Amino acid sequence: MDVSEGVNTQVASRAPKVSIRGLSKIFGEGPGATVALQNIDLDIGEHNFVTLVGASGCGKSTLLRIVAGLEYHGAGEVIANDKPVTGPGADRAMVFQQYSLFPWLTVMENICFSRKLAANRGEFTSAEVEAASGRADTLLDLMGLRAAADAFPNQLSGGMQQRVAIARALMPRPQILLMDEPFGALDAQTREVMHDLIQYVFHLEKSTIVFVTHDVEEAIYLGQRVVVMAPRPGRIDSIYDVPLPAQRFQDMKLSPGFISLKREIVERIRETSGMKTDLELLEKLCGQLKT
Amino acid sequence: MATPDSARPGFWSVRGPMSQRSYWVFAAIGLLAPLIAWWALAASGLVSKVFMPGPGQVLSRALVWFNSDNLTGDALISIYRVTAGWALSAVLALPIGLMIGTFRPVQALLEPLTDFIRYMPAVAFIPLVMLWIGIDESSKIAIIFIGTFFQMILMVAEDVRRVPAAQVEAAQTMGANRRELMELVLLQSAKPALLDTMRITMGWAWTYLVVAELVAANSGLGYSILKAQRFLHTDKIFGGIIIIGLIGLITDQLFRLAHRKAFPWTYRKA
Repeated sequence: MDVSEGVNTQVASRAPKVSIRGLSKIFGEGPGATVALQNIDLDIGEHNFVTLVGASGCGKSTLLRIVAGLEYHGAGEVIANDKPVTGPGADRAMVFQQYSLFPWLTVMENICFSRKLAANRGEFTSAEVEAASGRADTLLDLMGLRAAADAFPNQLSGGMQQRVAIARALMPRPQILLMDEPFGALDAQTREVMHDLIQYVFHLEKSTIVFVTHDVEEAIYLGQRVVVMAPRPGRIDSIYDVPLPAQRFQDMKLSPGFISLKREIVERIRETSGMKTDLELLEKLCGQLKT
Repeated sequence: MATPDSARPGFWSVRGPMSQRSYWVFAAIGLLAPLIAWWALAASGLVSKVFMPGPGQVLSRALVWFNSDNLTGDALISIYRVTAGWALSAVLALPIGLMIGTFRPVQALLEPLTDFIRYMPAVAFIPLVMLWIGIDESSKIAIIFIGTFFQMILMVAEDVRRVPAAQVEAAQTMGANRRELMELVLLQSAKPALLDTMRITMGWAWTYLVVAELVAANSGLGYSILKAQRFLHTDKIFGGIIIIGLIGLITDQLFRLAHRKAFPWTYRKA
Protein backbone atom coordinates (compact mmCIF):
# COMPACT_ATOMS: atom_id res chain seq x y z
CA MET A 1 0.00 0.00 0.00
CA ASP A 2 2.62 2.46 1.13
CA VAL A 3 4.80 1.66 -1.82
CA SER A 4 2.18 2.31 -4.48
CA GLU A 5 1.11 5.59 -2.87
CA GLY A 6 4.70 6.72 -2.76
CA VAL A 7 5.12 5.98 -6.43
CA ASN A 8 1.96 7.84 -7.39
CA THR A 9 2.97 11.06 -5.71
CA GLN A 10 6.62 10.88 -6.55
CA VAL A 11 6.59 10.04 -10.23
CA ALA A 12 3.21 11.14 -11.43
CA SER A 13 4.50 12.66 -14.64
CA ARG A 14 7.16 10.07 -15.42
CA ALA A 15 5.75 6.64 -14.77
CA PRO A 16 8.32 3.84 -14.43
CA LYS A 17 9.02 1.81 -17.56
CA VAL A 18 8.39 -1.39 -15.67
CA SER A 19 6.18 -1.60 -12.64
CA ILE A 20 5.62 -4.86 -10.78
CA ARG A 21 3.08 -5.03 -7.97
CA GLY A 22 2.36 -7.94 -5.65
CA LEU A 23 3.45 -10.43 -8.27
CA SER A 24 3.33 -14.14 -7.54
CA LYS A 25 4.03 -17.14 -9.71
CA ILE A 26 3.38 -20.77 -8.92
CA PHE A 27 4.77 -23.61 -11.00
CA GLY A 28 2.76 -26.81 -11.22
CA GLU A 29 -0.48 -27.80 -9.57
CA GLY A 30 -1.60 -29.63 -6.46
CA PRO A 31 0.90 -30.93 -3.89
CA GLY A 32 3.81 -30.74 -6.36
CA ALA A 33 3.37 -27.01 -6.87
CA THR A 34 6.24 -24.70 -5.98
CA VAL A 35 6.14 -20.99 -5.34
CA ALA A 36 8.54 -19.52 -7.89
CA LEU A 37 7.86 -15.92 -6.97
CA GLN A 38 6.10 -14.47 -3.99
CA ASN A 39 4.81 -10.94 -3.61
CA ILE A 40 7.31 -9.13 -5.82
CA ASP A 41 7.24 -5.32 -5.91
CA LEU A 42 9.68 -3.55 -8.21
CA ASP A 43 9.78 -0.32 -10.18
CA ILE A 44 12.26 0.29 -12.94
CA GLY A 45 12.55 3.84 -14.24
CA GLU A 46 13.22 4.98 -17.77
CA HIS A 47 16.83 4.60 -18.95
CA ASN A 48 17.69 2.55 -15.88
CA PHE A 49 20.05 -0.38 -15.83
CA VAL A 50 18.85 -2.88 -13.25
CA THR A 51 20.53 -6.21 -12.61
CA LEU A 52 18.91 -9.18 -10.90
CA VAL A 53 21.19 -11.58 -9.01
CA GLY A 54 20.58 -14.51 -6.74
CA ALA A 55 21.23 -18.19 -6.23
CA SER A 56 19.66 -20.63 -8.65
CA GLY A 57 15.99 -21.17 -7.95
CA CYS A 58 15.41 -17.61 -6.73
CA GLY A 59 13.14 -16.91 -9.70
CA LYS A 60 15.22 -14.15 -11.33
CA SER A 61 14.85 -15.64 -14.80
CA THR A 62 11.17 -16.33 -14.23
CA LEU A 63 10.65 -12.71 -13.21
CA LEU A 64 12.38 -11.52 -16.38
CA ARG A 65 10.36 -13.91 -18.52
CA ILE A 66 7.14 -12.63 -16.95
CA VAL A 67 8.08 -9.06 -17.88
CA ALA A 68 8.85 -10.33 -21.40
CA GLY A 69 5.41 -11.91 -21.48
CA LEU A 70 6.88 -15.35 -22.14
CA GLU A 71 5.57 -16.67 -18.85
CA TYR A 72 2.12 -15.95 -17.47
CA HIS A 73 1.80 -14.90 -13.87
CA GLY A 74 -0.57 -15.47 -11.01
CA ALA A 75 -1.57 -12.74 -8.58
CA GLY A 76 -0.36 -9.19 -8.98
CA GLU A 77 0.24 -6.99 -11.97
CA VAL A 78 3.07 -6.20 -14.33
CA ILE A 79 3.01 -2.94 -16.28
CA ALA A 80 5.57 -2.24 -18.97
CA ASN A 81 5.50 0.85 -21.18
CA ASP A 82 2.27 1.93 -19.46
CA LYS A 83 0.46 -1.23 -20.56
CA PRO A 84 -0.31 -4.36 -18.55
CA VAL A 85 1.80 -7.25 -19.83
CA THR A 86 -0.44 -9.88 -21.39
CA GLY A 87 2.05 -11.53 -23.73
CA PRO A 88 5.32 -10.98 -25.57
CA GLY A 89 5.67 -7.86 -27.69
CA ALA A 90 8.21 -6.00 -29.76
CA ASP A 91 8.44 -3.19 -27.18
CA ARG A 92 10.23 -5.59 -24.82
CA ALA A 93 13.15 -7.25 -26.58
CA MET A 94 14.87 -10.21 -25.01
CA VAL A 95 18.41 -11.53 -25.31
CA PHE A 96 18.82 -15.17 -24.32
CA GLN A 97 21.89 -17.02 -23.06
CA GLN A 98 22.31 -18.98 -26.28
CA TYR A 99 20.68 -20.92 -29.13
CA SER A 100 18.30 -18.09 -29.94
CA LEU A 101 19.76 -17.09 -33.32
CA PHE A 102 18.14 -18.43 -36.46
CA PRO A 103 20.85 -20.67 -37.91
CA TRP A 104 19.35 -20.67 -41.42
CA LEU A 105 19.65 -16.89 -41.71
CA THR A 106 22.84 -14.90 -42.17
CA VAL A 107 23.93 -12.39 -39.54
CA MET A 108 22.34 -9.54 -41.48
CA GLU A 109 19.11 -11.48 -42.02
CA ASN A 110 18.98 -12.34 -38.33
CA ILE A 111 19.32 -8.67 -37.41
CA CYS A 112 16.62 -7.72 -39.91
CA PHE A 113 14.15 -10.39 -38.78
CA SER A 114 11.85 -7.94 -36.99
CA ARG A 115 11.87 -5.68 -40.05
CA LYS A 116 10.92 -8.67 -42.18
CA LEU A 117 7.96 -9.37 -39.91
CA ALA A 118 6.76 -5.78 -40.22
CA ALA A 119 7.37 -5.70 -43.99
CA ASN A 120 5.46 -8.95 -44.52
CA ARG A 121 2.47 -7.43 -42.79
CA GLY A 122 2.68 -4.38 -45.01
CA GLU A 123 3.26 -2.18 -41.98
CA PHE A 124 6.18 -0.39 -43.61
CA THR A 125 6.29 2.53 -45.99
CA SER A 126 9.26 2.62 -48.33
CA ALA A 127 10.79 5.47 -46.33
CA GLU A 128 10.59 3.35 -43.21
CA VAL A 129 12.24 0.43 -44.97
CA GLU A 130 15.08 2.72 -45.93
CA ALA A 131 15.42 4.01 -42.39
CA ALA A 132 15.44 0.46 -41.11
CA SER A 133 18.21 -0.49 -43.55
CA GLY A 134 20.24 2.39 -42.17
CA ARG A 135 19.61 1.14 -38.66
CA ALA A 136 20.66 -2.39 -39.55
CA ASP A 137 23.90 -1.00 -40.94
CA THR A 138 24.46 1.10 -37.86
CA LEU A 139 23.91 -1.88 -35.56
CA LEU A 140 26.23 -3.99 -37.68
CA ASP A 141 28.97 -1.42 -37.18
CA LEU A 142 28.16 -0.75 -33.55
CA MET A 143 28.47 -4.44 -32.74
CA GLY A 144 31.59 -4.92 -34.82
CA LEU A 145 29.83 -7.38 -37.11
CA ARG A 146 30.55 -5.72 -40.45
CA ALA A 147 32.91 -8.46 -41.64
CA ALA A 148 30.53 -11.19 -40.52
CA ALA A 149 27.38 -9.76 -42.14
CA ASP A 150 26.98 -12.64 -44.59
CA ALA A 151 28.15 -15.42 -42.29
CA PHE A 152 25.82 -17.94 -40.71
CA PRO A 153 25.58 -18.09 -36.89
CA ASN A 154 27.22 -21.54 -36.82
CA GLN A 155 30.36 -20.00 -38.23
CA LEU A 156 30.71 -17.48 -35.40
CA SER A 157 32.25 -17.71 -31.94
CA GLY A 158 29.98 -17.54 -28.91
CA GLY A 159 30.84 -13.89 -28.31
CA MET A 160 30.08 -12.92 -31.89
CA GLN A 161 26.80 -14.83 -31.72
CA GLN A 162 25.74 -12.81 -28.69
CA ARG A 163 26.64 -9.59 -30.51
CA VAL A 164 24.24 -10.65 -33.24
CA ALA A 165 21.57 -11.50 -30.68
CA ILE A 166 21.91 -8.05 -29.09
CA ALA A 167 21.86 -6.27 -32.45
CA ARG A 168 18.78 -8.23 -33.48
CA ALA A 169 17.03 -7.34 -30.22
CA LEU A 170 17.88 -3.64 -30.66
CA MET A 171 16.72 -3.51 -34.27
CA PRO A 172 13.03 -2.62 -33.63
CA ARG A 173 14.11 0.08 -31.10
CA PRO A 174 12.61 -1.65 -28.07
CA GLN A 175 12.08 0.62 -25.11
CA ILE A 176 12.95 -2.16 -22.73
CA LEU A 177 15.79 -4.61 -23.22
CA LEU A 178 15.58 -7.79 -21.18
CA MET A 179 18.72 -9.89 -20.90
CA ASP A 180 18.68 -13.41 -19.45
CA GLU A 181 22.27 -14.31 -18.53
CA PRO A 182 23.37 -13.20 -21.99
CA PHE A 183 27.08 -13.64 -21.30
CA GLY A 184 26.79 -16.73 -19.11
CA ALA A 185 28.24 -19.05 -21.75
CA LEU A 186 31.15 -16.79 -22.72
CA ASP A 187 34.73 -16.94 -21.50
CA ALA A 188 35.91 -14.30 -19.01
CA GLN A 189 37.82 -12.14 -21.51
CA THR A 190 35.00 -12.03 -24.06
CA ARG A 191 32.61 -11.22 -21.25
CA GLU A 192 34.61 -8.11 -20.27
CA VAL A 193 34.47 -6.86 -23.84
CA MET A 194 30.73 -7.49 -23.93
CA HIS A 195 30.26 -5.62 -20.65
CA ASP A 196 31.75 -2.47 -22.09
CA LEU A 197 29.80 -2.95 -25.30
CA ILE A 198 26.48 -3.25 -23.51
CA GLN A 199 27.33 -0.16 -21.42
CA TYR A 200 27.93 1.71 -24.64
CA VAL A 201 24.63 0.49 -26.07
CA PHE A 202 22.85 1.53 -22.87
CA HIS A 203 24.11 5.10 -23.12
CA LEU A 204 23.69 5.37 -26.87
CA GLU A 205 20.23 3.84 -27.21
CA LYS A 206 18.87 5.22 -23.92
CA SER A 207 17.31 1.81 -23.34
CA THR A 208 15.90 0.55 -20.10
CA ILE A 209 17.77 -2.65 -19.35
CA VAL A 210 16.84 -5.47 -16.99
CA PHE A 211 19.73 -7.89 -16.77
CA VAL A 212 19.68 -11.29 -15.06
CA THR A 213 22.94 -12.87 -13.96
CA HIS A 214 24.37 -15.15 -11.29
CA ASP A 215 27.69 -13.28 -11.40
CA VAL A 216 27.74 -10.64 -8.66
CA GLU A 217 30.67 -8.75 -10.17
CA GLU A 218 28.84 -8.51 -13.48
CA ALA A 219 25.71 -7.33 -11.68
CA ILE A 220 27.56 -4.50 -9.92
CA TYR A 221 29.69 -3.48 -12.88
CA LEU A 222 26.69 -3.15 -15.20
CA GLY A 223 23.84 -2.14 -12.91
CA GLN A 224 22.82 1.18 -11.47
CA ARG A 225 20.76 -0.88 -9.07
CA VAL A 226 21.37 -4.48 -8.05
CA VAL A 227 18.31 -6.45 -7.01
CA VAL A 228 19.27 -9.44 -4.87
CA MET A 229 16.75 -12.25 -4.95
CA ALA A 230 16.43 -15.24 -2.63
CA PRO A 231 14.96 -18.70 -3.20
CA ARG A 232 12.25 -20.82 -1.58
CA PRO A 233 10.01 -18.95 -2.14
CA GLY A 234 11.49 -16.71 -4.85
CA ARG A 235 11.48 -13.14 -3.54
CA ILE A 236 13.35 -9.86 -3.55
CA ASP A 237 15.73 -9.90 -0.62
CA SER A 238 17.37 -6.50 -0.93
CA ILE A 239 18.15 -3.75 -3.42
CA TYR A 240 21.52 -1.98 -3.61
CA ASP A 241 22.25 1.30 -5.35
CA VAL A 242 25.63 1.02 -7.01
CA PRO A 243 27.83 3.96 -5.91
CA LEU A 244 29.74 4.18 -9.18
CA PRO A 245 29.64 6.91 -11.83
CA ALA A 246 27.52 6.33 -14.91
CA GLN A 247 30.58 5.70 -17.03
CA ARG A 248 32.15 2.43 -15.92
CA PHE A 249 35.71 1.22 -16.45
CA GLN A 250 37.22 -2.20 -15.84
CA ASP A 251 39.58 -0.71 -13.18
CA MET A 252 36.60 0.12 -11.01
CA LYS A 253 36.22 -3.56 -10.26
CA LEU A 254 39.32 -3.26 -8.07
CA SER A 255 38.21 -0.15 -6.16
CA PRO A 256 37.49 -0.58 -2.43
CA GLY A 257 33.87 0.55 -2.86
CA PHE A 258 33.25 -2.03 -5.53
CA ILE A 259 34.89 -4.80 -3.55
CA SER A 260 33.05 -4.07 -0.33
CA LEU A 261 29.71 -3.98 -2.15
CA LYS A 262 30.58 -7.24 -3.85
CA ARG A 263 31.45 -8.81 -0.49
CA GLU A 264 28.18 -7.62 0.99
CA ILE A 265 26.08 -8.99 -1.86
CA VAL A 266 27.95 -12.28 -2.08
CA GLU A 267 27.44 -12.83 1.64
CA ARG A 268 23.79 -11.87 1.39
CA ILE A 269 23.28 -14.44 -1.38
CA ARG A 270 25.12 -17.05 0.62
CA GLU A 271 22.95 -16.40 3.65
CA THR A 272 19.70 -16.57 1.73
CA SER A 273 20.53 -19.48 -0.54
CA GLY A 274 21.23 -22.16 2.05
CA MET A 275 24.83 -22.43 0.91
CA LYS A 276 25.96 -21.22 4.32
CA THR A 277 24.50 -24.33 5.92
CA ASP A 278 26.46 -26.40 3.44
CA LEU A 279 29.62 -24.62 4.51
CA GLU A 280 28.86 -25.21 8.16
CA LEU A 281 28.25 -28.86 7.41
CA LEU A 282 31.59 -29.05 5.65
CA GLU A 283 33.35 -27.43 8.59
CA LYS A 284 31.70 -29.85 10.97
CA LEU A 285 32.84 -32.78 8.85
CA CYS A 286 36.39 -31.44 8.75
CA GLY A 287 36.32 -31.04 12.53
CA GLN A 288 35.24 -34.64 12.92
CA LEU A 289 38.01 -35.84 10.67
CA LYS A 290 40.63 -34.02 12.75
CA THR A 291 39.57 -35.53 16.06
CA MET B 1 68.10 -34.15 -30.47
CA ALA B 2 64.63 -33.76 -31.82
CA THR B 3 61.88 -34.31 -29.34
CA PRO B 4 59.58 -37.09 -30.45
CA ASP B 5 56.02 -36.20 -31.35
CA SER B 6 53.60 -36.89 -28.59
CA ALA B 7 51.82 -40.16 -29.19
CA ARG B 8 48.93 -39.67 -31.62
CA PRO B 9 45.91 -41.51 -30.26
CA GLY B 10 45.26 -44.62 -32.35
CA PHE B 11 42.15 -45.74 -34.22
CA TRP B 12 40.94 -47.68 -31.24
CA SER B 13 40.98 -44.93 -28.64
CA VAL B 14 37.45 -43.95 -27.70
CA ARG B 15 36.12 -41.56 -30.36
CA GLY B 16 39.68 -41.39 -31.65
CA PRO B 17 40.77 -39.56 -34.78
CA MET B 18 41.03 -41.14 -38.23
CA SER B 19 42.40 -39.81 -41.49
CA GLN B 20 40.17 -39.63 -44.54
CA ARG B 21 42.30 -42.23 -46.28
CA SER B 22 42.13 -44.76 -43.46
CA TYR B 23 38.39 -44.20 -43.31
CA TRP B 24 37.97 -45.19 -46.94
CA VAL B 25 40.24 -48.21 -46.53
CA PHE B 26 38.06 -49.43 -43.68
CA ALA B 27 34.88 -48.67 -45.61
CA ALA B 28 36.17 -50.65 -48.60
CA ILE B 29 37.03 -53.58 -46.36
CA GLY B 30 33.56 -53.42 -44.83
CA LEU B 31 31.93 -53.53 -48.24
CA LEU B 32 34.23 -55.99 -50.00
CA ALA B 33 34.79 -58.54 -47.25
CA PRO B 34 31.21 -59.88 -47.25
CA LEU B 35 31.27 -60.01 -51.05
CA ILE B 36 34.48 -62.02 -51.05
CA ALA B 37 33.22 -64.27 -48.25
CA TRP B 38 30.04 -64.86 -50.22
CA TRP B 39 32.00 -65.66 -53.37
CA ALA B 40 34.37 -67.97 -51.49
CA LEU B 41 31.53 -69.82 -49.81
CA ALA B 42 29.72 -70.33 -53.12
CA ALA B 43 32.89 -71.36 -54.94
CA SER B 44 33.94 -73.84 -52.24
CA GLY B 45 31.00 -76.07 -53.14
CA LEU B 46 30.23 -76.63 -49.47
CA VAL B 47 26.74 -75.20 -49.91
CA SER B 48 24.29 -76.19 -52.62
CA LYS B 49 23.83 -73.62 -55.39
CA VAL B 50 20.12 -73.65 -54.70
CA PHE B 51 20.73 -72.30 -51.21
CA MET B 52 23.62 -70.01 -51.98
CA PRO B 53 24.24 -69.01 -55.58
CA GLY B 54 27.56 -67.24 -56.16
CA PRO B 55 27.95 -63.59 -57.13
CA GLY B 56 28.68 -64.54 -60.75
CA GLN B 57 25.52 -66.59 -61.02
CA VAL B 58 23.45 -63.80 -59.49
CA LEU B 59 24.96 -61.28 -61.85
CA SER B 60 24.30 -63.39 -64.95
CA ARG B 61 20.73 -63.98 -63.79
CA ALA B 62 20.29 -60.24 -63.30
CA LEU B 63 21.59 -59.66 -66.84
CA VAL B 64 19.09 -62.15 -68.24
CA TRP B 65 16.40 -60.39 -66.22
CA PHE B 66 17.51 -57.07 -67.64
CA ASN B 67 17.80 -58.26 -71.25
CA SER B 68 14.75 -60.43 -71.69
CA ASP B 69 12.61 -60.23 -68.58
CA ASN B 70 11.96 -56.47 -68.28
CA LEU B 71 14.01 -55.68 -65.16
CA THR B 72 13.75 -51.97 -65.98
CA GLY B 73 9.96 -52.18 -66.05
CA ASP B 74 9.89 -54.04 -62.72
CA ALA B 75 12.23 -51.49 -61.15
CA LEU B 76 10.28 -48.52 -62.47
CA ILE B 77 6.89 -49.75 -61.31
CA SER B 78 8.33 -50.52 -57.87
CA ILE B 79 9.99 -47.12 -57.66
CA TYR B 80 6.67 -45.59 -58.63
CA ARG B 81 4.74 -47.49 -55.96
CA VAL B 82 7.24 -46.72 -53.22
CA THR B 83 7.54 -43.06 -54.15
CA ALA B 84 3.79 -42.60 -54.47
CA GLY B 85 3.05 -44.25 -51.12
CA TRP B 86 5.83 -42.31 -49.45
CA ALA B 87 4.88 -38.99 -51.06
CA LEU B 88 1.25 -39.42 -50.03
CA SER B 89 2.45 -40.04 -46.47
CA ALA B 90 4.65 -36.97 -46.58
CA VAL B 91 1.94 -34.68 -47.94
CA LEU B 92 -0.32 -35.60 -45.04
CA ALA B 93 2.22 -36.24 -42.28
CA LEU B 94 4.05 -32.93 -42.67
CA PRO B 95 1.10 -30.64 -41.82
CA ILE B 96 -0.28 -33.02 -39.20
CA GLY B 97 3.14 -33.44 -37.57
CA LEU B 98 3.67 -29.69 -37.64
CA MET B 99 0.37 -29.18 -35.86
CA ILE B 100 1.16 -31.90 -33.27
CA GLY B 101 4.57 -30.41 -32.62
CA THR B 102 3.15 -26.90 -32.30
CA PHE B 103 -0.11 -27.21 -30.42
CA ARG B 104 -0.51 -29.26 -27.27
CA PRO B 105 -4.23 -30.00 -27.78
CA VAL B 106 -3.50 -31.44 -31.25
CA GLN B 107 -0.72 -33.48 -29.69
CA ALA B 108 -3.07 -34.84 -27.02
CA LEU B 109 -5.72 -35.53 -29.65
CA LEU B 110 -3.59 -37.32 -32.23
CA GLU B 111 -0.33 -38.55 -30.79
CA PRO B 112 -1.56 -41.37 -28.54
CA LEU B 113 -3.81 -42.57 -31.38
CA THR B 114 -0.93 -42.51 -33.86
CA ASP B 115 1.32 -44.26 -31.37
CA PHE B 116 -1.30 -46.99 -31.10
CA ILE B 117 -1.84 -47.45 -34.82
CA ARG B 118 1.83 -47.50 -35.72
CA TYR B 119 2.30 -50.76 -33.85
CA MET B 120 -0.28 -52.47 -36.00
CA PRO B 121 1.46 -54.57 -38.66
CA ALA B 122 1.01 -53.13 -42.14
CA VAL B 123 0.95 -56.65 -43.57
CA ALA B 124 -2.16 -57.48 -41.59
CA PHE B 125 -3.99 -54.68 -43.35
CA ILE B 126 -3.69 -56.43 -46.73
CA PRO B 127 -7.08 -58.15 -46.60
CA LEU B 128 -8.75 -54.94 -45.50
CA VAL B 129 -7.00 -52.91 -48.15
CA MET B 130 -8.10 -55.41 -50.81
CA LEU B 131 -11.61 -55.21 -49.49
CA TRP B 132 -11.74 -51.42 -49.32
CA ILE B 133 -9.55 -50.33 -52.20
CA GLY B 134 -9.45 -53.35 -54.47
CA ILE B 135 -6.46 -54.96 -56.10
CA ASP B 136 -5.27 -52.31 -58.52
CA GLU B 137 -2.27 -49.99 -58.23
CA SER B 138 -3.73 -47.90 -55.41
CA SER B 139 -3.87 -50.88 -53.06
CA LYS B 140 -0.09 -51.35 -53.30
CA ILE B 141 0.43 -47.68 -52.68
CA ALA B 142 -1.97 -47.91 -49.74
CA ILE B 143 0.09 -50.64 -48.06
CA ILE B 144 3.26 -48.58 -48.36
CA PHE B 145 1.33 -45.58 -47.08
CA ILE B 146 0.10 -47.49 -44.02
CA GLY B 147 3.63 -48.69 -43.35
CA THR B 148 5.18 -45.22 -43.37
CA PHE B 149 2.50 -42.65 -42.57
CA PHE B 150 2.07 -43.14 -38.84
CA GLN B 151 5.77 -43.37 -38.11
CA MET B 152 6.33 -40.30 -40.22
CA ILE B 153 3.77 -38.22 -38.29
CA LEU B 154 5.55 -38.95 -35.03
CA MET B 155 8.97 -38.18 -36.46
CA VAL B 156 7.81 -34.92 -38.01
CA ALA B 157 6.17 -33.89 -34.72
CA GLU B 158 9.41 -34.66 -32.90
CA ASP B 159 11.45 -32.65 -35.42
CA VAL B 160 9.21 -29.66 -34.83
CA ARG B 161 9.35 -30.07 -31.06
CA ARG B 162 13.16 -30.13 -31.20
CA VAL B 163 13.30 -26.55 -32.45
CA PRO B 164 15.04 -24.72 -29.58
CA ALA B 165 12.57 -22.83 -27.38
CA ALA B 166 14.92 -19.81 -27.45
CA GLN B 167 14.38 -19.43 -31.21
CA VAL B 168 10.61 -19.40 -30.81
CA GLU B 169 10.75 -17.06 -27.84
CA ALA B 170 13.18 -14.69 -29.55
CA ALA B 171 10.72 -14.38 -32.44
CA GLN B 172 7.88 -13.82 -29.99
CA THR B 173 9.73 -10.95 -28.33
CA MET B 174 10.21 -9.45 -31.78
CA GLY B 175 6.45 -9.44 -32.18
CA ALA B 176 5.88 -12.55 -34.29
CA ASN B 177 2.31 -13.83 -34.23
CA ARG B 178 1.23 -17.46 -34.21
CA ARG B 179 1.27 -17.91 -37.97
CA GLU B 180 4.63 -16.21 -38.32
CA LEU B 181 6.05 -18.43 -35.59
CA MET B 182 4.95 -21.52 -37.49
CA GLU B 183 5.95 -20.35 -40.96
CA LEU B 184 9.07 -18.33 -40.28
CA VAL B 185 10.53 -20.09 -37.25
CA LEU B 186 9.28 -23.63 -36.52
CA LEU B 187 9.09 -24.78 -40.13
CA GLN B 188 12.30 -23.06 -41.23
CA SER B 189 14.23 -24.30 -38.22
CA ALA B 190 12.97 -27.87 -38.54
CA LYS B 191 13.53 -28.13 -42.31
CA PRO B 192 16.90 -29.92 -42.23
CA ALA B 193 15.60 -32.44 -39.69
CA LEU B 194 12.44 -32.87 -41.76
CA LEU B 195 14.42 -33.70 -44.88
CA ASP B 196 16.35 -36.27 -42.85
CA THR B 197 13.06 -37.74 -41.69
CA MET B 198 11.92 -37.92 -45.31
CA ARG B 199 15.15 -39.73 -46.20
CA ILE B 200 14.78 -42.26 -43.40
CA THR B 201 11.09 -42.94 -44.07
CA MET B 202 11.86 -43.43 -47.76
CA GLY B 203 14.03 -46.34 -46.62
CA TRP B 204 11.13 -47.75 -44.62
CA ALA B 205 8.81 -47.38 -47.58
CA TRP B 206 11.14 -49.64 -49.56
CA THR B 207 11.01 -52.33 -46.88
CA TYR B 208 7.25 -52.51 -47.37
CA LEU B 209 7.56 -53.02 -51.13
CA VAL B 210 7.62 -56.83 -51.10
CA VAL B 211 4.65 -56.85 -48.76
CA ALA B 212 2.75 -54.42 -50.98
CA GLU B 213 3.41 -56.49 -54.06
CA LEU B 214 1.87 -59.50 -52.35
CA VAL B 215 -1.43 -57.90 -53.34
CA ALA B 216 -2.32 -59.27 -56.76
CA ALA B 217 0.67 -57.74 -58.50
CA ASN B 218 2.01 -58.97 -61.80
CA SER B 219 5.06 -56.77 -62.02
CA GLY B 220 7.64 -55.12 -59.78
CA LEU B 221 10.80 -56.09 -57.96
CA GLY B 222 8.98 -57.44 -54.94
CA TYR B 223 6.62 -59.44 -57.13
CA SER B 224 9.58 -60.87 -59.06
CA ILE B 225 11.23 -61.96 -55.82
CA LEU B 226 8.01 -63.67 -54.73
CA LYS B 227 7.64 -65.39 -58.10
CA ALA B 228 11.26 -66.54 -58.06
CA GLN B 229 10.59 -68.08 -54.68
CA ARG B 230 7.91 -70.27 -56.24
CA PHE B 231 10.40 -71.65 -58.77
CA LEU B 232 13.28 -71.79 -56.30
CA HIS B 233 15.26 -69.29 -58.42
CA THR B 234 17.47 -68.30 -55.52
CA ASP B 235 19.80 -66.37 -57.80
CA LYS B 236 16.92 -64.12 -58.87
CA ILE B 237 15.86 -63.62 -55.24
CA PHE B 238 19.43 -62.55 -54.45
CA GLY B 239 19.45 -60.28 -57.48
CA GLY B 240 16.12 -58.65 -56.57
CA ILE B 241 17.19 -58.02 -53.00
CA ILE B 242 20.50 -56.50 -54.07
CA ILE B 243 18.84 -54.29 -56.68
CA ILE B 244 16.39 -52.96 -54.07
CA GLY B 245 19.36 -52.32 -51.80
CA LEU B 246 21.18 -50.44 -54.54
CA ILE B 247 18.16 -48.30 -55.40
CA GLY B 248 17.80 -47.51 -51.70
CA LEU B 249 21.45 -46.59 -51.41
CA ILE B 250 21.27 -44.28 -54.42
CA THR B 251 18.09 -42.60 -53.15
CA ASP B 252 19.70 -42.12 -49.77
CA GLN B 253 22.75 -40.48 -51.31
CA LEU B 254 20.54 -38.22 -53.43
CA PHE B 255 18.72 -37.10 -50.29
CA ARG B 256 22.03 -36.40 -48.59
CA LEU B 257 23.20 -34.40 -51.58
CA ALA B 258 19.96 -32.41 -51.57
CA HIS B 259 20.44 -31.80 -47.86
CA ARG B 260 23.90 -30.36 -48.43
CA LYS B 261 22.67 -28.19 -51.29
CA ALA B 262 19.53 -26.95 -49.56
CA PHE B 263 20.95 -26.32 -46.09
CA PRO B 264 24.57 -25.23 -46.50
CA TRP B 265 24.41 -23.47 -43.15
CA THR B 266 24.21 -26.78 -41.26
CA TYR B 267 27.59 -27.81 -42.66
CA ARG B 268 29.58 -24.59 -42.13
CA LYS B 269 31.36 -24.45 -38.84
CA ALA B 270 33.54 -21.81 -37.27
